[in-house]
Amino acid sequence: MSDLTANIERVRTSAAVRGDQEAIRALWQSNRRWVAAILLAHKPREADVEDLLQDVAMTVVRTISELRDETALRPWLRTVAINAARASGRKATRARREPRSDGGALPPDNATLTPDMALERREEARRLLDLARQLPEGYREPLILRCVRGMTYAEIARLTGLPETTIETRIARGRRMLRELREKAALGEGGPENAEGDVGARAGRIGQTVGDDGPRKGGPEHV
Amino acid sequence: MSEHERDVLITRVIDDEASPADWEALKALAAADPSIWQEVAEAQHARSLLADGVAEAIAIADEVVVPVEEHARWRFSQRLRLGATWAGWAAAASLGVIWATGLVRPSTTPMGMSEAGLVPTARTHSQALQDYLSLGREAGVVVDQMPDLVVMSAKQSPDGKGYEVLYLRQVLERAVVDDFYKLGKDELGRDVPVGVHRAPVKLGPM
Repeated sequence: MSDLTANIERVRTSAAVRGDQEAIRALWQSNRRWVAAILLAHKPREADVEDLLQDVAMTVVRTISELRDETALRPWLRTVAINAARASGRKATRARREPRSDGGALPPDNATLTPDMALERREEARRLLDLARQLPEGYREPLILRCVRGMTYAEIARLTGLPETTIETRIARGRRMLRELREKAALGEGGPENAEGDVGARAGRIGQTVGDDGPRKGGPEHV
Repeated sequence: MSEHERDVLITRVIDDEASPADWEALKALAAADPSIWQEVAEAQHARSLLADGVAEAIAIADEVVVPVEEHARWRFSQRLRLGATWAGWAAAASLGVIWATGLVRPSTTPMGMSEAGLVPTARTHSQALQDYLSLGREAGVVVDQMPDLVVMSAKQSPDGKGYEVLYLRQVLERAVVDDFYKLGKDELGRDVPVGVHRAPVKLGPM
């Protein structure tokens, strides 16, 4: 988030705390996507993102006046979202709804795909998201947040209160774990490869391991 | 370079967070091991897939709005709503106590007549209330006292004898105003009254 954007958000937050309805609406519109990503990362499988988002929206309207630090809007929103996700886990399970359909339109970035290819990609994306949601909480949240436009390492660090190096480390490790889950899932679908063979094939593709040149200056933090 | 450092480097590259030094490190790695480009490509593909999955899952967010108007109406109705929810026996008991002690009596005085006499002199708060009602009617300000009492809370009294009841008494009054106003905002965002030159069509706060 640029300085200008941060200043605008701070002014809006101040107005929202005083009850300015337009400011509350503007803040919600500019933050609801990543709030939905937080819900996605923390919600029980059966819970619905839309329902939880509405719960969060209501909580925002009711309690934003209690926000004391105008610069703490995003961490506060994150806390509200996580609490909503956890509270839903204590409620009765509800029927899992199907993901929202866009009517079969091709995503803009994949305009060259045929409808069948686009459908296959969509299914693959959903499976990958399902696997990502199985990762430990500390890894899946930054990994999912990173998928939201505008959520840089710095922004995720500000949101979670963690150092930026920790965020990039968790994303890197999360991706490795996700890759391993994906490989296991592929094997579990009855593929002919056995686990050792698959790992061996992977090692072959990577080739010789590069020698360790020692710790890099400012290298990644091991978490 | 350890496997973890390699992962972090690739992660920075595909997330567009790599510094010039990171790119130099990647090129150096690739010079020794060109297969790293395949790792980068696979990581980029997985990242793109996951981003698509997340985008689809959170797309609904664009349709969820903050219910500011509903909340404002709810808060308003909370201020106007002067009743409390009670079990029937508690409400009946509290009203019974009130009537038994004669603490409250709705006015039965016909409009325009003073119950207290020509020169009302309050000796108790009840008499003062009656004086207010009488004088108010004479002045055309008081229409009448509403017959229903609104119980706000009821709990057993500390001494265990009976119940302590908080209740609301409502008096209907009449006023003539030159205009109606609503709260608006000036150029500095401060609340200012703004005249509304029309008759009210529904009950609401003044």
